[in-house]
Amino acid sequence: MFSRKSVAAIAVGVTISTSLMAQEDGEIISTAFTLGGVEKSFSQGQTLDTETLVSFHRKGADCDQICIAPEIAADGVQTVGERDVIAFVASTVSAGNGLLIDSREPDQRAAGYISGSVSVPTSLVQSDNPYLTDIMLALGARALEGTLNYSDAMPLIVFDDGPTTFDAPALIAQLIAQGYPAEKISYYHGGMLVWTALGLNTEDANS
Amino acid sequence: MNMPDYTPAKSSSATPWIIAVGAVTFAIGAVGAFALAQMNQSRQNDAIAVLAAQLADMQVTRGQSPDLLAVTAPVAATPVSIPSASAVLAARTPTAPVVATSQEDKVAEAIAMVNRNKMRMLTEGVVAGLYSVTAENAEGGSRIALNSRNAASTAAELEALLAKAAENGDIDVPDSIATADGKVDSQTLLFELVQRSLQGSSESEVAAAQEMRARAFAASAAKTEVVAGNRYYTVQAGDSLAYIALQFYGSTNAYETIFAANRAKVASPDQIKIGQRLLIPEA
Repeated sequence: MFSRKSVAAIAVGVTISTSLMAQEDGEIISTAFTLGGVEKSFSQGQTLDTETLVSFHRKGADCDQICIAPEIAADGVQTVGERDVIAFVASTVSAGNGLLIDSREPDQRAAGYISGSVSVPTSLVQSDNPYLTDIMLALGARALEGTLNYSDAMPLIVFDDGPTTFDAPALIAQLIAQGYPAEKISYYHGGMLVWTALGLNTEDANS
Repeated sequence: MNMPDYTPAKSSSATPWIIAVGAVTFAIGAVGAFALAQMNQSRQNDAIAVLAAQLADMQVTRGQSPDLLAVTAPVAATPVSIPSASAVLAARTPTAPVVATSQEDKVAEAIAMVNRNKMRMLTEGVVAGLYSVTAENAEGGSRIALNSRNAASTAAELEALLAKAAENGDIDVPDSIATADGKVDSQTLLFELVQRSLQGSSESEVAAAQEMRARAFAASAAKTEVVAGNRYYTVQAGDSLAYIALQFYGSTNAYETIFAANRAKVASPDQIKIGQRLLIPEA
């Protein structure tokens, strides 16, 4: 199923031949990027790391029956796929103009995360957190006497363990409740589970 | 024969002529000055007549519904401690026009131009929270506007009146209200008047002033750039220093903060230029 012969790695740069970089639809995506002075890249492995994959297969706490997060997180919030995430990190995030947000708790994140993502656990973005304003400032908002203005707030892509978990939709709902413009938020529904299932590389606490 | 005698006689008869010409010139000048004063007076009279007519209309309405504010806001049903709007009250006692020197005087004059009752109604509405501050699309982008719920038409009329008065030179507009493209920012002037009328020390006024700052700040769609920890804003067409202050500090008065931080490139508050990058100190 995942033995895509032609695609040993979509990671790139000039050293990779164009035949490898060319996707089925002919589009070529560049996946090398620099973050905080460190060269990073997205790549797609030929084999599947089932162990990691399994670790991302969690069930949302509140699920009684079928546990799949809605494809649309909230009104006005776009749902995006892997290519969008890769392009967003490689261009927008690396330029400091956007953030890829990992909404999981730190212990879940330790199992592995998407390169270029930052940790903003859903549990922190709650109206009773006294440091909520600081979190919003970190996302680009401006503050005056406790009032926030989101004109400068950065575009975000929010993800979690994947379709079976609800951290990302919950975080998105909280952000919007605080006044964050929905049109600046995107939801990567696939999350770690689909990302890993596609053979895309991850970073973890040891890397 | 008597020529020598004529000459002095002639020259002596020239004196009355000079006096006459001088007198006529003076008269023309005086009449002209009087006429100018009259014209000026009639312009103001026109404005005042319009306001008086509007006030009469309002009183008719008031007669039908004794407590106008109570209809829209139960809050206001309790005798509202009228924003002791020092400026508004001060302006209520007619004073002789004085030469405006400081910004304070200019604003007091502006307040004197507008109808006291309307201003009070608007201010009361602000104290009662009957307003919103929204970003509205205007030429050249989004602009913050004050939308009064208890006195919507009043706010619009006041703004129009202020714009006209400023255009006619009936009020001397503070430098901070002059826009980068050389116009008068009447919407910001309206904010300025309302904010000034909320400078009292009563609890309700202090709270209302803070709430208004918060709403104006939150409504701004202005984008900034942060370089090495410093925030910069690029002046757009239609911006005045007071309007920029309104967006980043919620108060027109805070223009001084921005002016002080950019003294090196801004000679006076009305000298900002489109495309200029201004340092916006953290609030």
